[in-house]
Amino acid sequence: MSQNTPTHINYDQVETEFEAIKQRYRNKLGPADVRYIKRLRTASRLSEVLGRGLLWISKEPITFALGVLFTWLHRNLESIEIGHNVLHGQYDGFEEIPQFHSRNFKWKAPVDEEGWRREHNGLHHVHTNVFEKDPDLNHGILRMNDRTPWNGYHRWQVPLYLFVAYPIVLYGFNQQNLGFRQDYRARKFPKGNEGYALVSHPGETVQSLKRRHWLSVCRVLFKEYVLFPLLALVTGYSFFKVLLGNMLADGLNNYWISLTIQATHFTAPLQPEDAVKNRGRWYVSQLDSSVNFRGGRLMSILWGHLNYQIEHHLYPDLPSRHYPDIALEVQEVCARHGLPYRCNPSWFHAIRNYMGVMWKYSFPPEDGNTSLSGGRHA
Amino acid sequence: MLDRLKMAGSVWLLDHVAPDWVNYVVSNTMTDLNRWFNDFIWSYDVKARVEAVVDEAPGVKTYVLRPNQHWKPCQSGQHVRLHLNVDGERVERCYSVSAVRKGQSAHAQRICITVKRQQGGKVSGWLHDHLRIGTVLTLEQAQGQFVRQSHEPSSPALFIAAGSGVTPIRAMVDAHMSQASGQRPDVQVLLQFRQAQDIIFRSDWAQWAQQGLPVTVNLSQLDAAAASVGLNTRHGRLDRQALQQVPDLTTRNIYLCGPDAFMRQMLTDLAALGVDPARIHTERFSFDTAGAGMAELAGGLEGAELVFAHVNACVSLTHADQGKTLLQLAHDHGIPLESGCTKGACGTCKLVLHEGEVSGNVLGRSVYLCTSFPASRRVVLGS
Repeated sequence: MSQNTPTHINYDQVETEFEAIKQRYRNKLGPADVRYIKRLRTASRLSEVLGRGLLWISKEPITFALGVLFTWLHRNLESIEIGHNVLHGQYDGFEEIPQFHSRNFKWKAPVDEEGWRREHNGLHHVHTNVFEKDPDLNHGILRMNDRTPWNGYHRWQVPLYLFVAYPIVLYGFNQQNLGFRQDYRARKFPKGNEGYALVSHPGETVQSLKRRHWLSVCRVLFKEYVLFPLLALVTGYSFFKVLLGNMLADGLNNYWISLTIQATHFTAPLQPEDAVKNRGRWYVSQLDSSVNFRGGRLMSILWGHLNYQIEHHLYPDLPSRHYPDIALEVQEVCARHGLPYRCNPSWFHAIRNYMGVMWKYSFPPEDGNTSLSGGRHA
Repeated sequence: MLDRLKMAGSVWLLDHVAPDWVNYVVSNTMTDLNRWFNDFIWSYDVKARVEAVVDEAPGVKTYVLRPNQHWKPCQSGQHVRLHLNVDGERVERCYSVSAVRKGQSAHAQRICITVKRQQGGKVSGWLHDHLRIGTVLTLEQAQGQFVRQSHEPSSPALFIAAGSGVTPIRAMVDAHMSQASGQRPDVQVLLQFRQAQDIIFRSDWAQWAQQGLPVTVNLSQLDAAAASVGLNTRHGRLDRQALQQVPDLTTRNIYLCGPDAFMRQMLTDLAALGVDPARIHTERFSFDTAGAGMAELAGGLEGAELVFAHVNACVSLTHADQGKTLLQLAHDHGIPLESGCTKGACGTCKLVLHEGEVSGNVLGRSVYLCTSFPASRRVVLGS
């Protein structure tokens, strides 16, 4: 546990109070939530029509920039505020919107939905920050805490992620979720997958997983880099301008998502493996692993309410629009029990803090011992 | 006119493109506009269009259905649940798939359901009166465990059916006859109907009899028409004597389906002839729940044990579990078991009683968990 967490916590009481908050908000769910998700989709569509239309016909930089902006807005809403939240099952209880049920929904992102749900909902949200169980703790080739063995690849992680991985981050999700990245590490890292969590897909061959990967990626590549540029071409406009515009919107979307999700997670302290066995203890482990950052209600939509990462981790299947209200109640419970509730004053601060951690762990531990070191501390 | 063109286009597409590819494109283009334009293909539900209506016997019709891309291949003997709107009321009914027809191309599969008009039956009457060619139905994927035992594919079998219970049996025999004649296991078919005109799928049985299938039709009311049926008929109900005529009765896997009273009689007769109840597989269409109650357990409920062997789970019962069905007990104690209609009809939750006793909806050793109760201090159920 970190220094801020008191040693004697009444876990049963904590569980009762957090469950009470959840029940209260469950009772509040109703037609307003259905209207909310439908309006988000409408906004996303209008933005798409406007953005793609402007890119199609733009002849000078200002309309081009506006086209990129609105296309980005459409991609952003579909990726996080709609996509990520729907895939959590937040809207599964509403019968009248089957298109927003987690098993029906198709993400406008190059990510296989079932692989995502298995890794994100089933592993990351259940065993959050548990060493070698939470795949998001160190994903890809990152080293984000001192328990993971250091190797030469880690020296380059900051520039690699900042300049290469972030602009294409969504295209890499399948690598982790469908298990391709772990094969790479097993082959190339001196200690293989030591320090990294593994995902498994029982009943699927590598071939079927690769097929799922290509199907999910090609639908985006086709729409962004083939269909709309071709439409522009056959109507007498520029193929490459639309291609470039879509590429910029894509890159911007990936970058925005990376900076949002990475800036709201602590990669230390690590949580014990049995945290999930006691519900109260599990709630505290969620508090311990997440950090919010401040922002207004409208901006929160653009962040998919992930700036309320604490509330999201406590209640992943409550519709995200309630997180700002839930936050007030959660803060009050934490204050009374002396539980950690961490919030960065702004997105910029959150990014800076996270970058600092990434920089620190890109170098070998001071004692020169590159093998598994013990101890979990902040 | 436009609707007919759209439907013809949809059916052409489904007949020529693999359902996986149709689903890939459709699910990724599921806009409100597309769903409004063509809700047969752009739908989250399994749907089927009635392509043909065939009169099998008086009061019995077969509907040939063309499902959309969501349909998954089913095993012979399984049933489908239809979601219908009858006189403004949402109802669900299960019907066995009586036939699977292959089409010209690999994806052109049609399924058939056969519906007998029940006296006073709300849904069967509605289906007979309202299902026409072109009607679109909403249904669910095929389900059910009344299928040929896969671990003994070549063991001899005996199919026994009466009345509308012949529907899943026909599907299973159809699958059997579609195997090459040299590779078919030994199979006997015993059917019971009231009169010759009531024989359902008469032409199919006659054709298969010609191909060597041993079929005997028992008619409780023999009439002149029986002679011209082209089948081996016998006057009188299917009784112990008829069963004794079946060679190697005790080594066969027996598949039984028909009205309740008929099945109970059959089970008694088969038991008397020394057939192991574990070899008898049944499918029940309805169950009278009015009689099913929980018998007072000798020794009380506290500490009684309920074991689900197939999922390796054991439940210790307490006083709070009084009056709960076996399915409720499983769910309340956190054991996820499959269930369907929860009314004792579809058989999805059916398990075999290995040890102990249960009361309620039991057919031989098959226990319908949703409408039966523990009746001994230790009950072991499994697959």
